[in-house]
Amino acid sequence: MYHIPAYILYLLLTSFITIYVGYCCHKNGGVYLHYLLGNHAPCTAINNILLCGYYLVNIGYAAWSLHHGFQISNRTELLTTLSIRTGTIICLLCILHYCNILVLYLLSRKYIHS
Amino acid sequence: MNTNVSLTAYFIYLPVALGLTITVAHQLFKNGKVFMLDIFHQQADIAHATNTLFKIGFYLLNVGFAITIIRMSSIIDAESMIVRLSTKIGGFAIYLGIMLMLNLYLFMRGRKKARQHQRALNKLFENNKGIEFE
Repeated sequence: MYHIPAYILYLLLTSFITIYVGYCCHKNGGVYLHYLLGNHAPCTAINNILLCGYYLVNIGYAAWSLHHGFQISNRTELLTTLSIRTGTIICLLCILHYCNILVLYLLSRKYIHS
Repeated sequence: MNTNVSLTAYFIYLPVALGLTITVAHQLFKNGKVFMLDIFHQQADIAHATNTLFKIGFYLLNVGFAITIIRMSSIIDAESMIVRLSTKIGGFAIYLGIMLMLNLYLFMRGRKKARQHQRALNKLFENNKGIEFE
């Protein structure tokens, strides 16, 4: 009886977090990208493509990670399972976010030197 | 009884951990703006954008970690609940402190690099004062 609400809640939570974080990063990342790559690079296009790929990876992974299903028998387990699964997704998001910043930074150095 | 006690523990842990994270992040990035302005040579928009990007990263990392470590085993009564809860919250607070120091170190390092760069530029221009650039 706890499974269906758990799945729905999990999918809603992860998609909400993904979309919200994506929106914030897209907004602030545009300025950052413009600063790093300069006026000549197609910053808006890179930014949009990054956002698209980010949505695909994260929502896709969140949905895919349901393939084993949850083992839930009471309310406490519902809370812990939901928290741990959502926390994993958030940690993954964070790793991707830092990798993204690092890659853009390295790319900009290469771009400036060449 | 058992389930209720552990549920209470979770409902105490979650707001405390999230509140702690939000307070620390707010303090850190309110004061981090000054460092960011120094790093980006007083360009307000890029400093603000980078600050926000780091803030998002900080929130993601710490909130994610806080709710990943939520599982607390063997809570049977109020006493064990208090012991488990304070261990967990204390551990999380220590982790948060280390993260805060790490971030502050990064800010300091960035600021130092930016200042060195600025000084090198100043020296270059002073030396070449009489020479015309092509």
